[in-house]
Formats: sequence, C-alpha cells, structure tokens
Amino acid sequence: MGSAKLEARGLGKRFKTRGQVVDALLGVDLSLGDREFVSVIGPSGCGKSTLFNIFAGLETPTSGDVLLDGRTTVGADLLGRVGYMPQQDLLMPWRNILDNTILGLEVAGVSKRVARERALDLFPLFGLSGFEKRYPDDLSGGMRQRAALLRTFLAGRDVILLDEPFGALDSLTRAGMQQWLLRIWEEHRKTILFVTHDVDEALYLSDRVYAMSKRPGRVTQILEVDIPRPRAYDVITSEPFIEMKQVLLEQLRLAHGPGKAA
Amino acid sequence: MTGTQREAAAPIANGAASVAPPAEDRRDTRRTIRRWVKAVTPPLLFAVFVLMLWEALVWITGISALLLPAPSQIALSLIENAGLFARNAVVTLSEILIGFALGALVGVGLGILLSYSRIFERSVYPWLVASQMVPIVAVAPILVVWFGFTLVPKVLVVALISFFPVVVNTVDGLQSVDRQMIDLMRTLGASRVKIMRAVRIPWAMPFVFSGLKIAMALAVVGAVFGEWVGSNAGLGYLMLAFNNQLATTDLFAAVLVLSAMGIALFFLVGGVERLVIPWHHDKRQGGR
Repeated sequence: MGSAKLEARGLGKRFKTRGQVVDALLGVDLSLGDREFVSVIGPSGCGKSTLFNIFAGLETPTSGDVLLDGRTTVGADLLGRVGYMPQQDLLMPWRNILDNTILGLEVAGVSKRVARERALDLFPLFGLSGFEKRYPDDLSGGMRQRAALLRTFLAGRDVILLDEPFGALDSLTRAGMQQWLLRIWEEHRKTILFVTHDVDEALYLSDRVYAMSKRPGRVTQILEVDIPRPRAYDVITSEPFIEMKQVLLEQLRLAHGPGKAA
Repeated sequence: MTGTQREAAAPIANGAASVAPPAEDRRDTRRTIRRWVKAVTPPLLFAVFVLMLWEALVWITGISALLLPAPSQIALSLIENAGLFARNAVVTLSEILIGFALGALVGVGLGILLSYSRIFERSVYPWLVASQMVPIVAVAPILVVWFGFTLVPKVLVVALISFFPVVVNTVDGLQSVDRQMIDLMRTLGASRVKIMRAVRIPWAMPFVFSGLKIAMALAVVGAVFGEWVGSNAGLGYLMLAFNNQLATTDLFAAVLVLSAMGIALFFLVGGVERLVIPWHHDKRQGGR
C-alpha cells in the first residue's frame, strides 16, 4: 500500500439535517495503486457520491484522511488535482463539442489554439471525429459521455474519478463503451476509480472491486479480480467471472437488506 | 498518429464540416421563410380587415374626425407631415437608445456585482426592489427641474424604468446556474472569476435577454413620459401638442409612428439575442 496513488484512511462523513445525524460514510479504507482500475459498487444511498465528492475536493470529510501520492490532501486542496467526471455529462450548451472538451486545459491557462490542437488529436480515439463544431444537443447519449470523458482526460490528471458514466446508456451501447474505456485506459495508463451499481461492469473493468453497504456507507468486501488482461468481452460468461459475480451479488444482497435484489 | 497525418486529417475534417452545412442552410432558410410567411399572413390579413371595417364605419356614421379619424385620413397625415414625424422620431429614438443602453449596462453590471458578493446582495437588493415603489411620475418633474428641457431627464427616466427588469433577470439567471456545472469547474481548478465568465454569465444570457425585451418595451413608454413632463421635441411632445390643438388625426398618426418604432426596437433586441446566443434559440426551435 506504500505506493498508493490515492488512498482513503478511515474516511467518515456525517451530515446533520433537522436534528437528525446521518453517517454517509463510516471508516472507509480504500486504496488505488498507480495505474489501477478500481470500482466501487453498492446500492443507492451507500455514500458513493459523497466518497467521490471528497476525493474530488468538493466536500471535506468529518473524519479520516485522503492521501494523494502519499501526502495528506483534504478538502479544497484536492480541487484541480483529481480528474472528475460526474454522472451527468454537464456539457455546456453554448460551447461546441471541441470547446467543451478543452475546458480543463483552458482553466489551466493553455491557449485555446494549442488546447484545440491537442483535443483534435484525440477526437478519432474518442469516436467524435466530424462532430467538432456540433453542439451538445446534436449528439447521442453515448457521444455526449465520450465527449465528457475526453474533457476529463484532457484535463491531464493522473487519477480520474468516473461516477456511473454509462448509467444512462442502453446495454448494447454500454458494452461497447466499456470495452472502449478499457482500451483507452490501457493506452493512456491512468488511475481510475469507477462507481457503478452494475456487477458485470465492475468485474469486467476492474483490478479490484470495493463493495459498500447502505447507510452508513462502509466497505463490506474487497474483491481482487485476477482475470488476466486484455479481457475479451466474453470473459463475463467464464467460470471464474461467474463465481466472483455470485460472491459480489450475495454481498450486495446482504448490504441492501432482505427482499430486494441488487 | 504522427504529426503529418494529423495535419492532413484536420483539414479533411474541417472540410467535411463546412461542406455539409450550406445545403442544409439553404433548406433551413427556405423553411424559415415559409414559416415566417405562415406566421405573418394571418395577423396581416386581420389588420387589413379591421382597418377596412374602421374606414367603412367612419364614412357610414359620418363621425367627426375630431373624435375618430378614418385610417385613410391618418395615412394622409403621415404623408403630409412625414418630415415633422421623422425629425421628432429621431429625438425620441435617441432618448430611448441612450437611456436603454445606460439602463441595460447598469442593470447587467449591478446584477453581476450582486451575485458576486453575498453581503452586497443582502444590503443592496432590498433597496433596489424598494426603489421600484417610488413612482417615476414623481421623479420625472424633479429631473426636469435639475436638468431642464434637455435630453438628460428623458434619458434618465428611460434608464430608470428599464434597468430594473434587467437587474432582476440577470440576478435570477446568474443564481439559477446548475450547481454541478460549478462543481465541475471547481474540480478543474477554476477560479471564481473564471467560473463567472465561463459558466455563470453564458448560463444567464437567456435570462438577461428576457429582461432586455421587457426593458425595451418599458423604455418606449419612459421616453414618451419624459417628454410629457417637459420638452420641446419628440413624439411625446408632438402628441401633447396635437392633443391641445384637437388635431386628433395627427395625434393618431403620431401614436402610429411611436408604436411602429416600439415594435421595431423590440424585434431588434430579439435579433441581437439570436446573434449573441444562437445555441439558445436553436434549442427552443428544436423543442417545439
């Protein structure tokens, strides 16, 4: 764990609303090694978003620490240090796709001309060629997500947080996007923390999966996914995959309480 | 991908992007014209019908032109006094444009300031709202006392009356920004100024333009009112003069000129809106 890129130690977040105390996160330990792909899975209300907001620097934990490159970095100090892609693509309707993707570079002070050139290099890889001058409203859901992902990549952070990026896509588009994401990740060697509530997705993509429980959100299981890479998509029907899936589903069922399937 | 390949690929992509639109544009233009004709024809026909009815009624009843002039008589007055109307319209138009520009500028500026600083907003905004309870009717004569029969009091009345809807809409727009978009900017390391410029202001633009349209409608009223209080030129002044002379036909003509000017100015703001925030207009069109 010494070489962790991003680490959470005993992370807790407590909210007080109308006299009620709610622990969104409780003693969460989580670690991402350099260039690892790690997923967090759990039912809604397990504090995944809170965890992400803390990692992104948008919220401050009430207890525990966040370590970035081995150094304690909490709260606003994390702003601008970790790449963050929220659930919604949040593309700006007044910017064309090209100018949406360069947002991070622009904030970093890179000139628009240089930023656009760098973005255009990546347009083919992100399947956005020919849509540079289009506006977000002209694009399909999958394309919008890819544009948002390109925006996140171009910002140039080592660690990237992806909050259910494919949640709103149909299953076919989704499968395609997962394979594509793996390709990008393998080529660009980023460190990715991925949130999902799709078990297949988590296992197919990740080196390690953290299962979380419903409120208070805590890590209930850590599963190392030792399926060799590169992974073909049919790996999801292989025996070791199914076994891990059963373990994870069982865990989630426990976490979610009786009567409901994950 | 190597550098040379990239350079070769970029123009192709650009070319494809610039080749496709013209055909689409032409089709779009034709469709726009057709839609426009469809929108304009019925009200125009209706207006012609009403005018004919009006004309007929005046001739049949033999009502005095002092009470109700016929449309043909008003048209005649317009032609006979074209020079007079033009001269005075220019006066009123400059009052409106200068006053509106002033009001809009102060309105947007104040709106941005208000949403920048919580304390400033809390201490100033209530007074801003309260200031609207002070009737312009009472303020205008004071302005005339201060500045005389010059352009200044009219411009000030116009500015005073038009800045309020702009402030309110600007503040509303700046504050209605998608919270998550701001969070995204923060995670990218953006400063408050950058967030204001890259997110808040563009987001608020449609709101600002709603405010500007209302402001323009009010500005016309403001200019006429300013002239009524004290002036020796302008369409408002003409109206007052014609009224005193019982020149009802000419009065109607003056009202007509003023209305036409007001409508044109209103559409001008709409036109500027389309130029400045085309994405918003396209979106609305798509939504229909």
